[in-house]
Amino acid sequence: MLLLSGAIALLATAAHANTLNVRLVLSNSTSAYQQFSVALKNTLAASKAAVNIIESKAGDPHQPEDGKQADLIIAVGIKAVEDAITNTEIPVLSVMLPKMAYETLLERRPPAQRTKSLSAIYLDQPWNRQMNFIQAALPKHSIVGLLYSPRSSIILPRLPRGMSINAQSVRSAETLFATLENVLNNSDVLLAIPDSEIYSSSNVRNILLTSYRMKVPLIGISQAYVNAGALCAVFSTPEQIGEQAGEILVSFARDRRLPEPQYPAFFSIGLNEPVAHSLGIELPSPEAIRERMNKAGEGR
Amino acid sequence: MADDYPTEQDYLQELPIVLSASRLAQPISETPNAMTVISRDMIKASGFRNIADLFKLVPGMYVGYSDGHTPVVSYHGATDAFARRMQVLVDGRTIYLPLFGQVDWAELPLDIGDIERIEVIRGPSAASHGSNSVQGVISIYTRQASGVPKTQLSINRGDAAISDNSIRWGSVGENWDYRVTLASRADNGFDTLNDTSNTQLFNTRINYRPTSSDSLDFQLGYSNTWRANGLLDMTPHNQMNTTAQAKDIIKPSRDQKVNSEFQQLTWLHTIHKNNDIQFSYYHIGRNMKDDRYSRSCADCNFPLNLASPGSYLIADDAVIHRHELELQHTLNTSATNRVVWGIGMRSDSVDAPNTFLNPITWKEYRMFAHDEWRATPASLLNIGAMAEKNALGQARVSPRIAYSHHLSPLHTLRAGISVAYRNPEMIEESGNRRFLLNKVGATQYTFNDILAAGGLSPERTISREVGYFWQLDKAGSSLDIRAYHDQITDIIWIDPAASATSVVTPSSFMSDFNAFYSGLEGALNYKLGVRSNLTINYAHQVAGASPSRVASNATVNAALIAYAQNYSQTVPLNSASLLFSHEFSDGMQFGAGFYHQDPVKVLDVASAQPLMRRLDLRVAKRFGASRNKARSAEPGSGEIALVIQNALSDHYTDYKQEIVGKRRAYLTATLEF
Repeated sequence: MLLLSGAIALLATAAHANTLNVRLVLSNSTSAYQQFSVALKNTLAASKAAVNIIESKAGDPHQPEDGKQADLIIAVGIKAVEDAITNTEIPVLSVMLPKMAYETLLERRPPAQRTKSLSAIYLDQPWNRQMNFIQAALPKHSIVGLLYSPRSSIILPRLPRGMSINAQSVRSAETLFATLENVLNNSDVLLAIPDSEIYSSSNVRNILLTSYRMKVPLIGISQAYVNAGALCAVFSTPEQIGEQAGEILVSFARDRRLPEPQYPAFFSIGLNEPVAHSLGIELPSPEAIRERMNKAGEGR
Repeated sequence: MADDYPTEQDYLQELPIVLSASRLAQPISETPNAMTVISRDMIKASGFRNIADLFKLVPGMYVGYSDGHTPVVSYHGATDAFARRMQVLVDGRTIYLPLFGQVDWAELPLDIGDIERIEVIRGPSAASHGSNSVQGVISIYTRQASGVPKTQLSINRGDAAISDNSIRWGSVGENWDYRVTLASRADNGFDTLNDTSNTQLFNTRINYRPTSSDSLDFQLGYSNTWRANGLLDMTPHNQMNTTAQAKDIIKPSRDQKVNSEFQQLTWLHTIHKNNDIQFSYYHIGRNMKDDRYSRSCADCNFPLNLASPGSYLIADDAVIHRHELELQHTLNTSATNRVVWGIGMRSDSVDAPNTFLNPITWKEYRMFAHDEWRATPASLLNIGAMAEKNALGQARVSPRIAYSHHLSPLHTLRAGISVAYRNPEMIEESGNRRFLLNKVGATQYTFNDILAAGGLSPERTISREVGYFWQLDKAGSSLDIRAYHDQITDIIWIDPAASATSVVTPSSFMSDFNAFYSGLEGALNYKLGVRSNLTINYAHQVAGASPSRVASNATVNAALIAYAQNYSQTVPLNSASLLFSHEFSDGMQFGAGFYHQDPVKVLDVASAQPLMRRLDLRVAKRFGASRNKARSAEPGSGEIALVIQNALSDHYTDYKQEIVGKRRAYLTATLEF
């Protein structure tokens, strides 16, 4: 009896000793980051994993001091990631940043920092998912127009059968609208990319008006694009990234190993029915699109 | 540090709602009426330099010239120099002016190069556009303030002393965009007429976005037109025997000067992507000066009976001001239902001392509401009505119901019925056009050609139509067919009046007859690959009319019957247009337009206009960095084009016998930087 209770006590101590201390660093306290944080905590609560989370804001001089060294940092957004991957020896899971930003930041690290354990969940969608989405949502639209500024580098994927890409570089702000008309003239859809030189909020307005006038729908990269007037978008919400980060944490708590950097596992589909009707496009339901994407080898 | 990689902000950024409910147009397969769209590419390919000519590309539409600077555009007959049964809007601004009910196409403060597209609703659309849209609605949309991101310089030079110049420039910014156009157009008109004209104009559009949910659009325009008018060679006095010729004494050769201007403000407030409110105000001003002296009629050998010869001042001046206010609310109540409703008022003031005894101000009020309900994915119901109170205190309601059924995503059937009214024009209700001649004792002789008795009621149209729309391919090729039957009751036309002191018999106006129009229209838009476009329009029309009243006077009855007969001939049995364009890979472009119109009678011209056929050709060559593309992508590009109108030199009669359409060529040079 004594032995048994002793064993239980031992187990409990071991469990306590194994509690994962995670420092969650948000780049900003706006709602998107908060949504991530809430979703992460909810996922952990549901899994009953022993994880202790201390939240802070990037750049905040008053970092929480609880006397314990964190086992893992979750850096949310570029600002937090920049800090985390250069300043500590602790493993870092970087989330809510585009793949290209993450890779650039990694390259810029001082060589001394290059040994620690790092991983990431990107914010952008993998190209094959993006292309499967377009094909599933708009099977008759096969030429995908792309506008990019010199700062963007695009590595195009192997395209699904029957699809092609018409990508044109915008060399300066003055030529944006001429190039836009040119791309729209020769494309079935225009796919937005995360390039603030082109898709600044003031440009998005004119891009949407022009593409609508020329009856070439814009495919957005977020729900905000869909609300603004894009025909549709496939994207991952902060909640979905939070849930995925939670799952990685649960696994990290078990084996203290970070997985390979990865794209979002969960995604949402946003459709703008009034724009579709106005352009005379019949969109499948989000469920039907998801099913088609699954068949094409993607989706979850 | 300027980021050279994307950040999460690219995904998280808030964006203004751009394509809110009111900005989304119904697809052409679901509009409650048949619609023709004339795009900027079609305008270019057609080679037309006059806006009015573009309507030759609408099935069943009549375009003629009563002189070189007075185009006449009408739809479904009843054509005369004042086409008063069609609504004409430029960016929502009604340019169909009171007084005669005319559209002054030639003096519009708008350059053809600033037109983005034109939508023509074929058939009545009073439920959406109010009275006077009984035959159709022309909506011209100009380029957005952001639509001219660079400078464009263009000149035309050619036959008939064609000399057009334009420069436009603009800028696109964070919170505001603008475009500006300065242009002039001039030509000598037709060989046989005294109709040289030139117009200088200024037009600007500014868009300002103080917040992400508010968009303010300011437009300003001004034009200054000088034109020659009147008869060059007048019939010798002693050969003038008829009253018609007698009227010539007030038409000496002279200069007319017209200033036109407008100011327009549109404020779009987006409450939500499914809910927005638009407030608009505009003012149009037009000032025409047409002062001249009548011919001295020393030896007139006709029944003018002037007591003493002399030359009398004819001050045909008119100042028009229009103010209009409108509030419109567009609401997507669900994914399958959209509601548009609003209120508006319009005030028209005319001061034309020789045409009205006193300055006139007319005020009209309206309320409208429409519902587009997608009952099932395949069926759409459009229901709407406009209630209006016109200046004469007469209230009318114009309802419309249209049902579209998608047999498949590519095939759509449409059926609709609507009621529309045309309000009497000022001249018809209150016109008293008179010029003072000599005085004999206490008797003041006048030249009084219009003396309206008043008391008119609106003309009423009931229209029924069925249509079929076939989307031929995903590139946008389509076939659109419609059959219609319109009945108009109480058409207002001339009723001879009596005047003891006038040297001519004045005209009054009355509800004289009823008419019907039936016809079949087809429009094919075909894209042959990426480089070629073909548009074919065809219309087959028949019309009939009969007097709606019996006069006590046998002469009047005979006149009514004659009017009715004329009226039924005001549509050409067959008319067609064809526009083809092709873009070669080396920057060459080719455009050809062919226009055919069977004989037709114009109401205010004695003889019928015979068969008209015309072929127009345009060849253009782009140069500069972007010569391989239709659109210029780089600065320093340009284009040279040659347009030959009536290339076969098939001399046709336009509108009236004196007007002969001959071959005309002009060169266009355009530079963009």
